[in-house]
Amino acid sequence: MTSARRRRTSGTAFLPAVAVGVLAACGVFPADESGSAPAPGDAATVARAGAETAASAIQDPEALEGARLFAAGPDGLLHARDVELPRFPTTRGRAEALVQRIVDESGTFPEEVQVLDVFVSGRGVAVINFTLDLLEGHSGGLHAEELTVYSLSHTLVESLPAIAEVRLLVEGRETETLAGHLDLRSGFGRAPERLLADADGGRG
Amino acid sequence: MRRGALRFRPFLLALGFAGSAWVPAPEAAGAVLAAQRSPELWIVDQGDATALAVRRLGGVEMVRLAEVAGALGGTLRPGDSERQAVLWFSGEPVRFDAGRSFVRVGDTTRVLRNPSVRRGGEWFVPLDFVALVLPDLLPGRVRYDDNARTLAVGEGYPRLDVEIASRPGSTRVIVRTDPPVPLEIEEGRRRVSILVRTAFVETAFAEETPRDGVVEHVDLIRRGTGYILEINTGRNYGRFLQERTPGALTLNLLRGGVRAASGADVLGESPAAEARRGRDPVGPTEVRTIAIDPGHGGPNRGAEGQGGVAEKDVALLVALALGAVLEREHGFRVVLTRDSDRDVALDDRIAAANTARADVLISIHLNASPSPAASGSLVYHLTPQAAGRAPAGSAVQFVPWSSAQAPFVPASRRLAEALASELQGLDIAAGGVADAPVRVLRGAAMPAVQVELGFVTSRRDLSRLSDPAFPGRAARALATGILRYQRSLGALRPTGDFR
Repeated sequence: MTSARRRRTSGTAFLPAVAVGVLAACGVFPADESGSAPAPGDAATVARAGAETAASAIQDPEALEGARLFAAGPDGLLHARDVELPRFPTTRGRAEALVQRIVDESGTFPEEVQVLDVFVSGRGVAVINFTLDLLEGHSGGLHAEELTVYSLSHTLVESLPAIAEVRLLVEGRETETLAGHLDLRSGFGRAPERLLADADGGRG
Repeated sequence: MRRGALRFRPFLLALGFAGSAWVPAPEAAGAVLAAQRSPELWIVDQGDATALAVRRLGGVEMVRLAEVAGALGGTLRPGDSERQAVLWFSGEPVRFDAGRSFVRVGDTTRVLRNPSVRRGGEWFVPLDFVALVLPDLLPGRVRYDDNARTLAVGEGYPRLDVEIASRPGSTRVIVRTDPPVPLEIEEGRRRVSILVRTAFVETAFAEETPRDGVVEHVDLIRRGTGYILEINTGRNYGRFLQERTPGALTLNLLRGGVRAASGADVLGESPAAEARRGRDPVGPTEVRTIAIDPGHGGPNRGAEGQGGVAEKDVALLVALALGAVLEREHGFRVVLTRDSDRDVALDDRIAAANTARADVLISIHLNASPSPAASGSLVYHLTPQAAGRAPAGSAVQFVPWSSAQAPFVPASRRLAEALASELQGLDIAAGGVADAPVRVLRGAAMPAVQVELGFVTSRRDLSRLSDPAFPGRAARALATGILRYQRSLGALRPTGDFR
């Protein structure tokens, strides 16, 4: 881990708790399926959440499972691609792994962006917390913003039945837009048909 | 009547009795007045307007008596001597004596401020003969407007009223005519002029001096066969907005530095505040005010294409061109959320449109994609999901900011379709209409769309977008689309009053 990453991690360790607080105020209560509900401002909760993710990865390191990842194609549409991910016992674990693959491979996210945290509420709302690079590094344009957001939400909603809606945070806070166009305060689900290369949106 | 002339009138009459042509202080005042007034005397008879040249003889403004007779159907004949003349209308003769400051109408003597003059075989009379004596000689209703230097014969002339109100951020000038007459606006250096195209107006307005920093002085001046309401702007003047209704023209002259969007003189409401609306959920039945929002601005450049083409710059050029077309060619009132290279917060843009009670909002942007193949224009409206739930009932007074667009989604879609159909005429592939959770459209309490004119990341689109002629072409296409939408409103059945 680079020194920059170490500094970022230590400096933002409290942010997931802030994010929980923000979302709690919005009526979203992230709660892992294991039953442990992170409380705002609880550093121990943050540590426990991190430990659960690590533990679930350790539990089944060899098993893989399939997922459909929607990435931007040269035609400006989202194309479905089958990928394999390590099998996690929790939706949160699977979501975290899938989100990282989307960020790395969809071609719709700035290169420098990092995923700080992923939470999944009992109501099926996945909350992904990104670094500020998501805003600062984004090229802009409504279409580009749509591809970024919907490559993420469509992939998660299509691949993980427990997830119905995806919300984005930046450094633990709600943000108005990525680059001045798409309203990020709403939750996102399936992509509009006009953005999908495959007419049935990946549903076989 | 100007105050200077009134103050000196008794003095003038006294000098007139003495037969003297010397008028020291009054002449100075008269010289000042003459510099501002028309150099002609107008005679308007049932719409026919005749201009008589006004000459200065011995420091006195005078007109040729033969021209006065000819304009009013009278006859001028020599008198008993070469220093006498007789003017005949339908009634009693009027006798003039050269060098005398009076005329005889039958057996009655009428005093003038200055004497009649005979020069080079021609007779000249002072202007007060036209103002004070002529109206009593002609049949029917005759009156003289000294400010416009016009003698009007007959009835049926339009009435003109001017109302001026100074406000914290602007000065409002309202011009009403009854019956309506054509009113045109011209802007020059330190002035905004309203041309009133009619031969004569009945009016009590002559001039007013607000001197509020935005408007220094307002003057009603005769100019040719019409009038000019000349608004002399002050050092704090920025620009004006206009609003037209039948028989009335309202100019809002904005204080410089005030955002164009605040021309309604009410601060935009904060995002946390609730927008008060009294509109029917269907939308307005006519379009009079159009809010135009050029996206981004200042350090917020938006999307960028090769060669440094920035979304913010093209959006502003198109918005300015569109505003000009809509105002000058179609008489709409236009509100711009920005008219220079500066950024404006998203909610402030919406607040400006809401505050101005715009009938439609058009946000102008350029698109971008990680894929160079993505190209074409697209007109977005807000998705119903992002718009939220529409308030129940039609006479809505308060709506949450986040749901303000909800009642207008169907109208927004119609507006988007009207604009998209006209964008097909541009040399950029027209992508049609789409809906998305577009940030700038939430909170808009009117039909609202975001127009993506093309992709800066597409080589083909970029070549069109960077063409200097593109903003004008795009503006005309969008203006035509707005007119198409406006026409479509006539097919709707209104369900309530909107204002």
